[in-house]
Amino acid sequence: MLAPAALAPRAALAPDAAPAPAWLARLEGVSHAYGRDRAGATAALSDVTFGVREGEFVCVVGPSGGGKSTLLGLLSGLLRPTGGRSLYQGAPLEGPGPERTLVPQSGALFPWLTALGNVEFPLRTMGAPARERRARALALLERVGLAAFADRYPHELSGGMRQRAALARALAAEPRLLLLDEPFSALDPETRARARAELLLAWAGDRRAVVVVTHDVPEAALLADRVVCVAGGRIAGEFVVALPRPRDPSAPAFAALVTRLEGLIAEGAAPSPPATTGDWQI
Amino acid sequence: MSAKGPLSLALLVALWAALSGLASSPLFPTPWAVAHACVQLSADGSLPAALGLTALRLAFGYGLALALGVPLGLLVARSPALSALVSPLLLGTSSVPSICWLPLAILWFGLSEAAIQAVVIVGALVPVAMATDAAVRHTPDELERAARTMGARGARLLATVTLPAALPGIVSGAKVGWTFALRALLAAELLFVSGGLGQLLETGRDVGDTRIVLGVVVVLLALSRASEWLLFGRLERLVARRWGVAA
Repeated sequence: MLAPAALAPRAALAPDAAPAPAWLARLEGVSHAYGRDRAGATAALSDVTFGVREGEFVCVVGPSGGGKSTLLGLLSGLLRPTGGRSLYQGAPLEGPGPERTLVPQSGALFPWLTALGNVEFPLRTMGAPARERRARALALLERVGLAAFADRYPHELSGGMRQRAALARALAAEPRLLLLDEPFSALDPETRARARAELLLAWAGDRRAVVVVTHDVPEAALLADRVVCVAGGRIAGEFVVALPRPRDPSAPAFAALVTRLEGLIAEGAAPSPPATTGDWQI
Repeated sequence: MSAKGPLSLALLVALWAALSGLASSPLFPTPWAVAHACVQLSADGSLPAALGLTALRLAFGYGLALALGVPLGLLVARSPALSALVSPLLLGTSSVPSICWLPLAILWFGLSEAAIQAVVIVGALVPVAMATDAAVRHTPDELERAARTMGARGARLLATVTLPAALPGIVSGAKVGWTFALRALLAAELLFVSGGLGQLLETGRDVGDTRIVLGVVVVLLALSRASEWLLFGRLERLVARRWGVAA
Protein backbone atom coordinates (compact mmCIF):
# COMPACT_ATOMS: atom_id res chain seq x y z
CA MET A 1 0.00 0.00 0.00
CA LEU A 2 3.04 2.20 -0.21
CA ALA A 3 2.12 4.78 -2.78
CA PRO A 4 4.77 7.19 -4.04
CA ALA A 5 2.87 9.81 -2.06
CA ALA A 6 3.99 8.12 1.14
CA LEU A 7 7.27 9.92 0.72
CA ALA A 8 6.37 13.31 -0.57
CA PRO A 9 9.13 15.82 -1.14
CA ARG A 10 8.78 19.04 0.81
CA ALA A 11 7.82 20.95 -2.29
CA ALA A 12 4.61 18.93 -2.41
CA LEU A 13 3.49 20.69 0.75
CA ALA A 14 3.74 23.95 -1.17
CA PRO A 15 3.82 26.20 1.91
CA ASP A 16 3.69 29.31 -0.27
CA ALA A 17 0.63 28.15 -2.20
CA ALA A 18 -1.69 26.75 0.49
CA PRO A 19 -2.00 28.29 3.96
CA ALA A 20 0.02 25.70 5.87
CA PRO A 21 -0.39 25.60 9.68
CA ALA A 22 1.54 28.40 11.37
CA TRP A 23 5.12 27.85 12.43
CA LEU A 24 5.22 27.31 16.16
CA ALA A 25 8.98 27.59 16.29
CA ARG A 26 11.36 28.48 13.53
CA LEU A 27 15.08 28.90 13.00
CA GLU A 28 15.83 31.31 10.15
CA GLY A 29 19.30 31.06 8.64
CA VAL A 30 20.66 30.11 12.04
CA SER A 31 24.30 29.37 12.79
CA HIS A 32 25.71 28.27 16.10
CA ALA A 33 29.30 27.85 17.17
CA TYR A 34 30.42 26.58 20.57
CA GLY A 35 33.35 27.98 22.47
CA ARG A 36 34.34 31.40 23.68
CA ASP A 37 36.29 32.24 20.56
CA ARG A 38 33.42 32.35 18.14
CA ALA A 39 35.61 33.24 15.20
CA GLY A 40 37.93 30.27 15.65
CA ALA A 41 35.33 27.76 16.81
CA THR A 42 33.92 25.26 14.37
CA ALA A 43 30.26 25.80 13.68
CA ALA A 44 27.92 23.13 15.05
CA LEU A 45 25.23 24.50 12.75
CA SER A 46 25.61 26.86 9.84
CA ASP A 47 22.84 28.72 8.04
CA VAL A 48 20.06 26.34 9.00
CA THR A 49 16.42 27.09 8.34
CA PHE A 50 14.06 24.78 10.16
CA GLY A 51 10.55 25.05 11.48
CA VAL A 52 8.03 23.12 13.53
CA ARG A 53 4.32 23.64 13.00
CA GLU A 54 1.65 23.54 15.68
CA GLY A 55 0.93 19.93 16.62
CA GLU A 56 3.53 18.53 14.26
CA PHE A 57 5.69 15.51 15.05
CA VAL A 58 9.19 15.94 13.62
CA CYS A 59 12.06 13.48 13.89
CA VAL A 60 15.63 14.68 13.42
CA VAL A 61 18.03 12.01 12.21
CA GLY A 62 21.65 12.07 11.14
CA PRO A 63 25.16 11.09 12.17
CA SER A 64 26.61 11.83 15.61
CA GLY A 65 28.16 15.26 15.90
CA GLY A 66 26.09 16.52 13.00
CA GLY A 67 24.35 19.24 15.00
CA LYS A 68 21.12 17.50 16.02
CA SER A 69 21.38 18.33 19.73
CA THR A 70 22.42 21.90 18.91
CA LEU A 71 19.21 22.21 16.89
CA LEU A 72 17.17 21.18 19.95
CA GLY A 73 19.13 23.58 22.17
CA LEU A 74 18.34 26.45 19.82
CA LEU A 75 14.64 25.57 19.64
CA SER A 76 14.46 25.44 23.45
CA GLY A 77 16.15 28.82 23.81
CA LEU A 78 18.95 27.36 25.96
CA LEU A 79 21.36 28.11 23.12
CA ARG A 80 21.44 31.42 21.32
CA PRO A 81 22.19 31.57 17.64
CA THR A 82 25.53 33.12 16.76
CA GLY A 83 23.96 34.06 13.44
CA GLY A 84 20.40 34.25 12.10
CA ARG A 85 17.21 34.34 14.14
CA SER A 86 15.36 31.85 16.31
CA LEU A 87 11.66 32.54 16.60
CA TYR A 88 8.87 31.20 18.75
CA GLN A 89 5.33 32.06 17.68
CA GLY A 90 6.84 34.65 15.39
CA ALA A 91 8.75 36.52 18.09
CA PRO A 92 12.51 36.32 18.70
CA LEU A 93 13.39 33.76 21.35
CA GLU A 94 14.91 35.38 24.46
CA GLY A 95 15.62 32.28 26.54
CA PRO A 96 14.24 28.96 27.73
CA GLY A 97 10.69 28.65 29.05
CA PRO A 98 8.22 25.98 30.17
CA GLU A 99 6.31 26.16 26.88
CA ARG A 100 9.35 24.55 25.20
CA THR A 101 10.51 21.72 27.45
CA LEU A 102 13.72 19.88 26.61
CA VAL A 103 14.49 16.36 27.81
CA PRO A 104 18.20 15.63 27.39
CA GLN A 105 19.48 12.16 26.54
CA SER A 106 20.13 11.23 30.17
CA GLY A 107 16.70 12.44 31.29
CA ALA A 108 18.38 14.80 33.80
CA LEU A 109 16.11 13.76 36.65
CA PHE A 110 16.90 15.48 39.93
CA PRO A 111 18.59 12.87 42.15
CA TRP A 112 17.36 14.46 45.38
CA LEU A 113 13.68 14.14 44.41
CA THR A 114 11.55 11.02 44.08
CA ALA A 115 9.91 10.21 40.75
CA LEU A 116 6.82 11.99 42.08
CA GLY A 117 8.87 14.97 43.27
CA ASN A 118 10.51 15.22 39.86
CA VAL A 119 7.19 15.23 38.03
CA GLU A 120 5.85 17.77 40.51
CA PHE A 121 8.81 20.08 39.86
CA PRO A 122 7.43 22.01 36.86
CA LEU A 123 4.01 22.19 38.54
CA ARG A 124 5.70 23.70 41.57
CA THR A 125 7.50 26.35 39.50
CA MET A 126 4.16 27.17 37.89
CA GLY A 127 2.67 27.64 41.35
CA ALA A 128 0.08 24.85 41.33
CA PRO A 129 -1.45 24.16 44.78
CA ALA A 130 0.01 21.13 46.61
CA ARG A 131 -3.00 18.86 46.26
CA GLU A 132 -3.53 19.52 42.56
CA ARG A 133 0.22 19.15 41.96
CA ARG A 134 0.28 15.74 43.54
CA ALA A 135 -2.83 14.54 41.73
CA ARG A 136 -1.57 15.68 38.33
CA ALA A 137 1.91 14.27 38.89
CA LEU A 138 0.45 10.92 39.94
CA ALA A 139 -1.80 10.87 36.87
CA LEU A 140 1.21 11.49 34.64
CA LEU A 141 3.23 8.76 36.33
CA GLU A 142 0.25 6.46 35.84
CA ARG A 143 0.24 7.37 32.16
CA VAL A 144 3.88 6.31 31.71
CA GLY A 145 3.36 3.18 33.84
CA LEU A 146 5.31 4.36 36.87
CA ALA A 147 2.54 4.86 39.43
CA ALA A 148 3.97 2.07 41.57
CA PHE A 149 7.38 3.75 41.59
CA ALA A 150 6.29 7.25 42.60
CA ASP A 151 8.31 7.19 45.82
CA ARG A 152 11.53 5.85 44.32
CA TYR A 153 14.59 8.02 43.85
CA PRO A 154 16.12 8.12 40.35
CA HIS A 155 19.05 5.88 41.31
CA GLU A 156 16.52 3.25 42.36
CA LEU A 157 14.90 3.21 38.89
CA SER A 158 16.05 1.38 35.77
CA GLY A 159 17.27 3.34 32.74
CA GLY A 160 13.95 2.90 30.99
CA MET A 161 11.98 4.01 34.03
CA ARG A 162 14.16 7.09 34.35
CA GLN A 163 13.47 8.10 30.76
CA ARG A 164 9.76 7.56 31.23
CA ALA A 165 9.82 9.61 34.43
CA ALA A 166 11.67 12.36 32.54
CA LEU A 167 8.97 12.28 29.85
CA ALA A 168 6.25 12.53 32.51
CA ARG A 169 8.08 15.48 34.09
CA ALA A 170 8.36 17.25 30.74
CA LEU A 171 4.64 16.68 30.06
CA ALA A 172 3.82 18.15 33.48
CA ALA A 173 5.14 21.49 32.23
CA GLU A 174 2.38 21.37 29.56
CA PRO A 175 4.74 22.48 26.79
CA ARG A 176 3.48 23.59 23.38
CA LEU A 177 6.73 22.19 22.01
CA LEU A 178 8.29 19.04 23.47
CA LEU A 179 11.96 18.51 22.60
CA LEU A 180 13.39 15.03 23.19
CA ASP A 181 17.06 14.20 22.65
CA GLU A 182 17.44 10.47 21.90
CA PRO A 183 14.77 9.58 24.44
CA PHE A 184 14.77 5.84 23.76
CA SER A 185 18.42 5.15 23.05
CA ALA A 186 19.13 3.47 26.39
CA LEU A 187 16.10 1.18 26.33
CA ASP A 188 15.78 -2.47 25.50
CA PRO A 189 13.57 -3.22 22.46
CA GLU A 190 10.39 -4.02 24.38
CA THR A 191 10.63 -1.02 26.69
CA ARG A 192 11.45 1.06 23.67
CA ALA A 193 8.31 0.01 21.82
CA ARG A 194 6.25 0.76 24.88
CA ALA A 195 7.86 4.16 25.44
CA ARG A 196 7.23 5.08 21.80
CA ALA A 197 3.60 4.10 22.13
CA GLU A 198 3.35 6.25 25.26
CA LEU A 199 4.91 9.18 23.50
CA LEU A 200 2.56 8.82 20.52
CA LEU A 201 -0.39 8.68 22.89
CA ALA A 202 0.81 11.78 24.70
CA TRP A 203 1.25 13.56 21.40
CA ALA A 204 -2.04 12.41 19.86
CA GLY A 205 -3.95 13.30 23.01
CA ASP A 206 -2.65 16.84 23.38
CA ARG A 207 -1.63 17.68 19.80
CA ARG A 208 1.45 19.45 21.04
CA ALA A 209 4.37 19.77 18.67
CA VAL A 210 7.13 17.23 19.27
CA VAL A 211 10.71 17.18 17.98
CA VAL A 212 12.61 13.94 18.62
CA VAL A 213 16.30 13.47 17.88
CA THR A 214 17.02 9.84 17.08
CA HIS A 215 19.61 7.61 15.44
CA ASP A 216 17.01 5.06 14.61
CA VAL A 217 15.46 5.47 11.14
CA PRO A 218 12.62 2.94 11.65
CA GLU A 219 11.76 4.83 14.81
CA ALA A 220 11.63 8.11 12.89
CA ALA A 221 9.44 6.49 10.21
CA LEU A 222 7.14 5.11 12.88
CA LEU A 223 6.71 8.36 14.77
CA ALA A 224 7.12 11.35 12.53
CA ASP A 225 5.00 13.50 10.25
CA ARG A 226 8.24 14.80 8.86
CA VAL A 227 11.81 13.51 9.03
CA VAL A 228 14.69 15.97 8.86
CA CYS A 229 18.26 14.83 8.33
CA VAL A 230 20.95 17.00 9.90
CA ALA A 231 24.54 16.31 8.91
CA GLY A 232 27.68 18.40 8.98
CA GLY A 233 25.86 21.31 10.58
CA ARG A 234 23.35 21.60 7.75
CA ILE A 235 19.92 20.31 6.86
CA ALA A 236 20.88 17.51 4.52
CA GLY A 237 17.38 16.47 3.65
CA GLU A 238 13.80 16.72 4.70
CA PHE A 239 10.74 14.71 3.76
CA VAL A 240 7.18 14.06 4.76
CA VAL A 241 6.02 10.65 5.93
CA ALA A 242 2.49 10.32 4.65
CA LEU A 243 1.74 6.82 5.97
CA PRO A 244 -1.47 6.91 7.98
CA ARG A 245 -1.29 6.12 11.69
CA PRO A 246 -1.22 3.74 13.45
CA ARG A 247 1.75 2.52 11.43
CA ASP A 248 2.51 -1.15 11.47
CA PRO A 249 6.28 -1.74 11.60
CA SER A 250 5.81 -5.31 10.36
CA ALA A 251 3.92 -4.25 7.20
CA PRO A 252 5.88 -4.55 3.91
CA ALA A 253 4.98 -0.98 3.05
CA PHE A 254 6.61 0.25 6.23
CA ALA A 255 9.76 -1.79 5.59
CA ALA A 256 9.97 -0.37 2.05
CA LEU A 257 9.60 3.14 3.43
CA VAL A 258 12.39 2.59 5.96
CA THR A 259 14.71 1.21 3.29
CA ARG A 260 14.16 4.25 1.11
CA LEU A 261 14.58 6.63 4.02
CA GLU A 262 17.85 4.97 4.99
CA GLY A 263 19.09 5.26 1.45
CA LEU A 264 18.19 8.91 1.27
CA ILE A 265 19.75 9.66 4.64
CA ALA A 266 22.98 7.91 3.67
CA GLU A 267 23.01 9.97 0.50
CA GLY A 268 22.17 13.21 2.30
CA ALA A 269 24.65 12.62 5.09
CA ALA A 270 27.47 12.00 2.61
CA PRO A 271 30.23 14.63 2.70
CA SER A 272 28.99 16.30 -0.49
CA PRO A 273 25.21 15.95 -0.74
CA PRO A 274 23.95 15.80 -4.30
CA ALA A 275 21.04 18.16 -3.77
CA THR A 276 22.10 21.53 -2.37
CA THR A 277 18.50 22.46 -1.68
CA GLY A 278 18.21 19.59 0.74
CA ASP A 279 15.06 18.28 -0.93
CA TRP A 280 14.72 14.94 -2.55
CA GLN A 281 12.60 14.15 -5.52
CA ILE A 282 11.26 10.67 -5.21
CA MET B 1 28.39 5.58 64.78
CA SER B 2 28.78 1.98 63.81
CA ALA B 3 27.85 -1.06 65.86
CA LYS B 4 31.55 -1.46 66.60
CA GLY B 5 31.64 1.92 68.39
CA PRO B 6 30.87 0.63 71.90
CA LEU B 7 33.31 -2.25 71.47
CA SER B 8 36.24 -0.05 70.50
CA LEU B 9 35.35 2.33 73.32
CA ALA B 10 35.42 -0.55 75.81
CA LEU B 11 38.78 -1.67 74.42
CA LEU B 12 40.20 1.83 74.79
CA VAL B 13 39.03 2.11 78.41
CA ALA B 14 40.45 -1.37 79.20
CA LEU B 15 43.81 -0.46 77.66
CA TRP B 16 43.86 2.83 79.54
CA ALA B 17 42.98 1.10 82.83
CA ALA B 18 45.73 -1.51 82.31
CA LEU B 19 48.43 1.00 81.39
CA SER B 20 47.55 3.47 84.15
CA GLY B 21 47.45 0.55 86.62
CA LEU B 22 50.97 -0.45 85.53
CA ALA B 23 52.25 3.13 85.64
CA SER B 24 50.61 3.76 89.01
CA SER B 25 51.58 7.44 88.86
CA PRO B 26 49.60 10.65 89.47
CA LEU B 27 50.80 11.70 86.00
CA PHE B 28 48.75 8.87 84.47
CA PRO B 29 45.43 8.64 86.29
CA THR B 30 43.08 5.66 85.90
CA PRO B 31 39.77 6.02 84.02
CA TRP B 32 37.91 5.89 87.31
CA ALA B 33 39.98 8.71 88.82
CA VAL B 34 39.28 10.82 85.73
CA ALA B 35 35.58 9.96 85.90
CA HIS B 36 35.56 10.96 89.55
CA ALA B 37 37.26 14.27 88.72
CA CYS B 38 34.67 14.90 86.01
CA VAL B 39 31.86 14.29 88.50
CA GLN B 40 33.49 16.73 90.92
CA LEU B 41 33.97 19.37 88.22
CA SER B 42 30.35 18.90 87.23
CA ALA B 43 29.19 19.25 90.82
CA ASP B 44 31.03 22.53 91.32
CA GLY B 45 29.67 23.77 88.00
CA SER B 46 32.99 24.52 86.31
CA LEU B 47 32.79 21.74 83.70
CA PRO B 48 29.19 22.44 82.58
CA ALA B 49 29.96 26.17 82.40
CA ALA B 50 33.10 25.60 80.32
CA LEU B 51 31.32 23.10 78.06
CA GLY B 52 28.37 25.46 77.63
CA LEU B 53 30.63 28.37 76.72
CA THR B 54 32.66 26.32 74.23
CA ALA B 55 29.52 24.87 72.64
CA LEU B 56 27.93 28.32 72.39
CA ARG B 57 31.04 29.80 70.74
CA LEU B 58 31.23 26.90 68.36
CA ALA B 59 27.56 27.16 67.42
CA PHE B 60 27.82 30.90 66.81
CA GLY B 61 31.12 30.90 64.91
CA TYR B 62 30.32 27.82 62.87
CA GLY B 63 26.80 29.02 62.12
CA LEU B 64 28.16 32.32 60.85
CA ALA B 65 30.87 30.54 58.83
CA LEU B 66 28.18 28.40 57.14
CA ALA B 67 25.93 31.40 56.53
CA LEU B 68 28.81 33.25 54.85
CA GLY B 69 30.75 30.34 53.35
CA VAL B 70 27.96 28.70 51.33
CA PRO B 71 26.92 31.92 49.54
CA LEU B 72 30.58 32.86 49.03
CA GLY B 73 31.31 29.46 47.45
CA LEU B 74 28.23 29.84 45.25
CA LEU B 75 29.32 33.30 44.08
CA VAL B 76 32.85 32.11 43.37
CA ALA B 77 31.51 29.15 41.39
CA ARG B 78 29.28 31.38 39.31
CA SER B 79 31.53 34.36 38.68
CA PRO B 80 34.77 33.68 36.78
CA ALA B 81 36.03 37.16 37.73
CA LEU B 82 35.38 36.64 41.44
CA SER B 83 36.84 33.15 41.20
CA ALA B 84 40.09 34.47 39.71
CA LEU B 85 40.25 36.98 42.56
CA VAL B 86 39.12 34.91 45.54
CA SER B 87 40.10 31.30 44.76
CA PRO B 88 43.87 31.79 45.25
CA LEU B 89 43.11 33.66 48.46
CA LEU B 90 40.94 30.80 49.77
CA LEU B 91 43.53 28.24 48.75
CA GLY B 92 46.30 30.22 50.44
CA THR B 93 44.29 30.76 53.60
CA SER B 94 43.39 27.09 53.78
CA SER B 95 47.07 26.11 53.89
CA VAL B 96 47.66 28.19 57.04
CA PRO B 97 46.25 26.93 60.36
CA SER B 98 43.58 29.47 61.27
CA ILE B 99 45.02 29.89 64.79
CA CYS B 100 47.84 31.86 63.12
CA TRP B 101 45.35 34.68 62.76
CA LEU B 102 44.85 34.93 66.54
CA PRO B 103 47.66 37.44 67.25
CA LEU B 104 46.34 39.72 64.52
CA ALA B 105 42.77 39.24 65.72
CA ILE B 106 43.85 40.17 69.27
CA LEU B 107 45.57 43.30 68.00
CA TRP B 108 42.48 44.23 66.04
CA PHE B 109 39.74 43.25 68.46
CA GLY B 110 41.54 43.08 71.83
CA LEU B 111 41.21 40.16 74.24
CA SER B 112 37.57 39.68 73.33
CA GLU B 113 34.98 37.26 72.02
CA ALA B 114 35.39 38.93 68.65
CA ALA B 115 39.03 37.82 68.45
CA ILE B 116 38.09 34.22 69.20
CA GLN B 117 35.19 34.28 66.76
CA ALA B 118 37.39 35.72 64.03
CA VAL B 119 39.68 32.70 64.26
CA VAL B 120 36.79 30.20 64.37
CA ILE B 121 35.00 31.81 61.43
CA VAL B 122 38.10 31.99 59.24
CA GLY B 123 38.92 28.37 60.11
CA ALA B 124 35.48 27.04 59.16
CA LEU B 125 34.52 29.43 56.38
CA VAL B 126 37.39 28.56 54.06
CA PRO B 127 36.72 24.81 53.71
CA VAL B 128 32.95 25.43 53.50
CA ALA B 129 33.36 28.01 50.73
CA MET B 130 35.86 25.88 48.82
CA ALA B 131 33.69 22.75 49.04
CA THR B 132 30.59 24.69 47.94
CA ASP B 133 32.49 26.19 45.02
CA ALA B 134 33.72 22.78 43.87
CA ALA B 135 30.33 21.12 44.40
CA VAL B 136 28.47 23.75 42.36
CA ARG B 137 31.02 23.67 39.56
CA HIS B 138 30.91 19.89 39.35
CA THR B 139 27.12 19.69 39.19
CA PRO B 140 26.08 18.52 35.70
CA ASP B 141 24.88 21.54 33.70
CA GLU B 142 22.02 19.54 32.28
CA LEU B 143 20.13 19.58 35.61
CA GLU B 144 19.93 23.38 35.55
CA ARG B 145 19.25 23.40 31.83
CA ALA B 146 16.35 20.98 32.23
CA ALA B 147 14.98 23.08 35.09
CA ARG B 148 15.19 26.24 32.99
CA THR B 149 13.11 24.63 30.24
CA MET B 150 10.54 23.85 32.94
CA GLY B 151 10.22 27.47 33.99
CA ALA B 152 12.66 27.70 36.92
CA ARG B 153 14.91 30.75 37.00
CA GLY B 154 16.71 33.20 39.26
CA ALA B 155 16.59 32.68 43.01
CA ARG B 156 14.11 29.86 42.59
CA LEU B 157 16.47 27.95 40.32
CA LEU B 158 19.26 28.49 42.83
CA ALA B 159 17.20 27.27 45.79
CA THR B 160 15.41 24.38 44.11
CA VAL B 161 18.12 23.04 41.79
CA THR B 162 21.61 24.51 42.15
CA LEU B 163 21.95 24.11 45.92
CA PRO B 164 20.21 20.71 46.25
CA ALA B 165 22.34 19.41 43.38
CA ALA B 166 25.49 20.50 45.22
CA LEU B 167 24.31 19.20 48.60
CA PRO B 168 26.56 16.11 48.86
CA GLY B 169 29.67 18.25 48.32
CA ILE B 170 28.42 20.99 50.63
CA VAL B 171 27.74 18.46 53.41
CA SER B 172 31.26 17.05 53.26
CA GLY B 173 32.68 20.59 53.22
CA ALA B 174 30.51 21.53 56.20
CA LYS B 175 31.86 18.51 58.07
CA VAL B 176 35.45 19.54 57.45
CA GLY B 177 34.52 23.09 58.47
CA TRP B 178 33.10 21.79 61.75
CA THR B 179 36.35 20.02 62.62
CA PHE B 180 38.37 23.11 61.70
CA ALA B 181 36.10 25.33 63.82
CA LEU B 182 36.53 23.06 66.86
CA ARG B 183 40.33 23.00 66.45
CA ALA B 184 40.59 26.75 66.02
CA LEU B 185 38.36 27.40 69.01
CA LEU B 186 40.27 25.09 71.37
CA ALA B 187 43.58 26.59 70.29
CA ALA B 188 42.23 30.09 70.91
CA GLU B 189 40.81 29.15 74.31
CA LEU B 190 44.15 27.62 75.33
CA LEU B 191 46.03 30.74 74.30
CA PHE B 192 44.16 33.29 76.28
CA VAL B 193 42.04 33.30 79.38
CA SER B 194 38.47 33.31 78.16
CA GLY B 195 36.59 30.48 79.86
CA GLY B 196 35.58 27.41 77.93
CA LEU B 197 37.06 23.93 77.79
CA GLY B 198 40.39 25.20 76.48
CA GLN B 199 40.87 27.27 79.59
CA LEU B 200 39.83 24.37 81.82
CA LEU B 201 42.60 22.34 80.16
CA GLU B 202 45.05 25.10 81.03
CA THR B 203 43.74 25.20 84.60
CA GLY B 204 44.38 21.46 84.89
CA ARG B 205 47.94 21.97 83.76
CA ASP B 206 48.44 24.96 86.08
CA VAL B 207 47.40 22.99 89.16
CA GLY B 208 49.22 19.91 87.88
CA ASP B 209 46.06 17.79 87.93
CA THR B 210 46.21 15.27 85.08
CA ARG B 211 42.74 14.04 86.00
CA ILE B 212 41.27 17.40 84.95
CA VAL B 213 43.34 17.51 81.76
CA LEU B 214 42.32 14.01 80.70
CA GLY B 215 38.74 14.60 81.82
CA VAL B 216 38.45 17.62 79.53
CA VAL B 217 39.98 15.65 76.66
CA VAL B 218 37.36 12.93 77.16
CA VAL B 219 34.59 15.54 77.23
CA LEU B 220 35.97 17.08 74.01
CA LEU B 221 36.05 13.69 72.38
CA ALA B 222 32.45 13.10 73.37
CA LEU B 223 31.43 16.59 72.19
CA SER B 224 33.07 16.10 68.83
CA ARG B 225 31.61 12.63 68.22
CA ALA B 226 28.15 13.59 69.46
CA SER B 227 28.00 16.77 67.37
CA GLU B 228 29.13 14.98 64.24
CA TRP B 229 26.56 12.30 64.85
CA LEU B 230 23.75 14.76 65.54
CA LEU B 231 24.63 17.32 62.88
CA PHE B 232 25.98 15.26 60.02
CA GLY B 233 24.79 11.69 60.60
CA ARG B 234 21.26 12.53 59.49
CA LEU B 235 22.38 14.60 56.53
CA GLU B 236 24.79 11.94 55.34
CA ARG B 237 22.14 9.25 55.57
CA LEU B 238 19.78 11.48 53.62
CA VAL B 239 22.38 12.06 50.92
CA ALA B 240 23.19 8.35 50.77
CA ARG B 241 19.53 7.44 50.40
CA ARG B 242 18.73 9.99 47.72
CA TRP B 243 21.88 9.97 45.66
CA GLY B 244 22.70 6.33 46.30
CA VAL B 245 26.24 7.34 47.30
CA ALA B 246 28.13 8.23 50.45
CA ALA B 247 28.83 11.95 50.89
